[in-house]
Amino acid sequence: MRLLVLEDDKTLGPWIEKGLSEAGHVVALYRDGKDAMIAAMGQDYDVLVLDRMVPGLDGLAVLKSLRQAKVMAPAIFLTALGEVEDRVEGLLAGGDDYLVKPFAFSELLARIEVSVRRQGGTDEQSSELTAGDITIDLHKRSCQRQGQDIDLNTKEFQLLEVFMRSKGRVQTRTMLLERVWDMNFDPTTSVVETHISRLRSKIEKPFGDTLLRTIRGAGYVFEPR
Amino acid sequence: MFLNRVRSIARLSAFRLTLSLLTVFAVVLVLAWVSTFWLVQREMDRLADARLTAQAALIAEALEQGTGLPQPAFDQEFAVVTEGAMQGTLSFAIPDRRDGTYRYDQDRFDFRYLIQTTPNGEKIIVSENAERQDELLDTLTGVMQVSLFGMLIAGLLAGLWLALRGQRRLDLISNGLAQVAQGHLTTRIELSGRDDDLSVLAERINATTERLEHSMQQMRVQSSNIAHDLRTPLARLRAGLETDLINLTENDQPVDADSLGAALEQIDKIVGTFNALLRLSRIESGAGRDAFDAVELKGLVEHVAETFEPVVENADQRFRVEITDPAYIKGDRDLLVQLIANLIQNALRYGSEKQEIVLSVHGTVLSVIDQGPGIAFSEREKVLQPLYQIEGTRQNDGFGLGLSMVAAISELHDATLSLSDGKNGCGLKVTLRFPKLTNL
Repeated sequence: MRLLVLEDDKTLGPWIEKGLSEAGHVVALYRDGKDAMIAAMGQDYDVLVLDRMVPGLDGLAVLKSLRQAKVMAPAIFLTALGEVEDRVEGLLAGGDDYLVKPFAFSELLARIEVSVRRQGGTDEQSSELTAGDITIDLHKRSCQRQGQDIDLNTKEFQLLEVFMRSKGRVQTRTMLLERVWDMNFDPTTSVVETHISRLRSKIEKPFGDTLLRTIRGAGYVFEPR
Repeated sequence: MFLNRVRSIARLSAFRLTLSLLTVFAVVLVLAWVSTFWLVQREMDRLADARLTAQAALIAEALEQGTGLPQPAFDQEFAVVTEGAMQGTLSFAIPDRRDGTYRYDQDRFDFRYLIQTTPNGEKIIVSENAERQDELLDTLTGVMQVSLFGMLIAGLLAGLWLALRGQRRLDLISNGLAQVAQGHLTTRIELSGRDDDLSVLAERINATTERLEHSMQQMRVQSSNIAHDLRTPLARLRAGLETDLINLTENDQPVDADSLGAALEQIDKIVGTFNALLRLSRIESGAGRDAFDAVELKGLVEHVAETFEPVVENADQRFRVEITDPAYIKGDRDLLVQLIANLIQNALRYGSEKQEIVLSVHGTVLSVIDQGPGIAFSEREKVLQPLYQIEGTRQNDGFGLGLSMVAAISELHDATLSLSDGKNGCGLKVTLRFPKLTNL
């Protein structure tokens, strides 16, 4: 994908650029809002990653003028402003997502992919998802591995669905809390850990292998064979 | 200098009030004065005219019957003019006027007189000295003037006195406030003597200052607690990184994923504390009330139970939900989830092993009961303050924000929060009484 990144921080900017390039994307990094706006008007980008506070035009103003110029590429705000009002302001300006600093790189990557998928509309019409030897039916809420039925409760099923949709990519605790439990705060108790261990005991233990790998300090990654 | 003093007095509100009242009184008094004067004068003229008419009638009768003219009454004199000849005396020249009553007012002389022509062509002129009436009216005027000016002067002095007296008390208040504004929060305003609106005001200001002083003190304690809570994970982070660096440079031992992961975990913990503090201050500021909506307690509790039951069971404890007659309340679903989550988390953290945690809803009352050691009565107020942890529990890695977040969320929802003993006097019961949802 072609990505535009507007970030003036001398450490964060190149870090994002490097990380995204390594993930296989073509990245254009800008430090000035005006340059970024001119670039986005002239070329097509798949996703815009905008810092809210940069020299020249700030990210919010850049996106507002881009939306007026009918540049509809999905946009993700990066910011140190984390208040609800700031989020709302960003979303009203035409932003698709909002990521508060400091953030995990895996989370930025995941959000970029989610926003592109959202832009493309509902991509999969089928009610079945398959990864390796696991199949889940979204309508029947049923799960099968190697032909055996596995009984999952609602949260375990939702958790597995999130992992199956993002196989091979790190899922942070924050993202899981948001997508499975709809929680925008950290409950500090081991909610994610507990449910993951329960899910594991159902989809891994009887089969004697590992599908979900824990990466300390980062999150979880689903790696079906 | 003097002008400045006058100006400063004129600025006093009590004095201004006096001036405006005095103006109103003066206008009313002058109006009353003018009308009284006019009424008294008219009445006196009417009486004089009656006397003159009576005398003229006597004279006319005497003339008609040819008897001698009567004696003039007290203070009266009269003259009868018949074909150029004049009988009687008159102090002034006979005026050439038609019948009627008139007033003669010249120099020191002041008369009221009546001219009447008999059918026989005799002209009768009766006059009465009006000096006494004038004296009476003069006295009346004098009294009125004295009362008017007396009132004005007395009122002005009283106003001045009141204004200066009030000003002294106001000065005390304003000096006190100036002290507070400079940061001396221990200042209290002391108004001696009377119990009036100013002393009530001073009391209110004192109460406000006291509250402010208390909050500032609390904030200082909080800042040091925050520093402590952030310092601990920072210290761990630093220690870990330093060990890795030494191992790398001196022992040629490469940094492994585990130690980097541990470092990230510490950073996430620091960020978590930051976020929780920001969220707390946001909730405490009362923001978010606009987003309130009707929330069904049953659905809310079931959602939370679904999430937390496995967590509680994993900790080898039991979890029970009791729902009777659940109601709807007005609130923010997200915050309410956090509130219950925090209570469960507290019960888990501070409760006893193998205990049962009960989450119950009865009408609009929500409570979480654990079977832990409970909280001593004297500590109950303090545990609701941010970052307060009961002595000896600080090392438990808690953020120390759980219960204060609960307190802040419950206050935002106008709920009453109470801490009491659990069943059979053991454990802790946290109860939230939400206001009834009256209209949707």
